[in-house]
Amino acid sequence: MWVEVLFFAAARDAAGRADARLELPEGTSAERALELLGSRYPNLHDLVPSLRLAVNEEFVAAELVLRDGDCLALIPPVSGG
Amino acid sequence: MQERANETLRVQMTHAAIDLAALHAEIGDPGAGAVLAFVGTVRDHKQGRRVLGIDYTAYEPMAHKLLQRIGRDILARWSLRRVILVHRLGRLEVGEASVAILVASPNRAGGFDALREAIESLKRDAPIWKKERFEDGEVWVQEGS
Repeated sequence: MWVEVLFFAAARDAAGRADARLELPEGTSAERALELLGSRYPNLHDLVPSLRLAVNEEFVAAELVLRDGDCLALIPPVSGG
Repeated sequence: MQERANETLRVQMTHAAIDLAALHAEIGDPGAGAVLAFVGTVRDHKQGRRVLGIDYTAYEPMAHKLLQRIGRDILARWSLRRVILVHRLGRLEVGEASVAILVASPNRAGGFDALREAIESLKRDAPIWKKERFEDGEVWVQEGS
C-alpha cells in the first residue's frame, strides 16, 4: 500500500522536502512508518521523538494502523499564537 | 461582509494583516453584554536577543479544522453569542498581530474564561509554527511562547 507523507517546519527542513510517497506493507502502524522515515532521511532521525503524528488531518495514536491512501503528517512541536 | 453578519463562528487563516477594528465591528451582537479580545503580537526580543520578525507556517487544512473545533467548544461551553478566530501566516514584523480571538458573551466572566481556553488550546494543538528571524539567523520555535 501507499501513503502520502507531509513534512512541516523543522521536519521539512530536515527531510529536505515538503512531501513524499511511501510504500508500506499492509498493517504498518504510524509509528513504524515514522521509524522508516527516520532511516530514509537521516537528518530527520533526531527529531523523531519530538514529532506528533496526524493521519488525514487528525492527531492519532502512534499504534494506529495505516491504510492505503492515508495522508500521514509529521507534526513538530507546534508554536502558533 | 454582509453575509458574515449571521455567522456564529468564523475562522480564518490569512496572509493579510489582521484588521482589529473590522473584527470588532463584525462581532457586535445585541445579545452580548461583553465583547472580549485576545491579540497575540510579535515581540522584539527573545531571551535577550533582538527579534527582527517571525515567519508563520501552518498545515492549513488541519489548523483550520482545529480552530473550528476550538470555536465550537467555547461557544457551547460558555453559551457565547459569537466567536471569531483569525491566525496570520507568512512574514510578520515586530508589533504586528499574529492571532486574534474575539468573543461576544452574555457576561464578562464567561468571556474571559473562553478566551483563555481558546488561546491555550490553539497553542497546544494547532499545527502552526513560527520561525523567529534574528540578526544572525533563523530558528524554529520549539515551545509555546
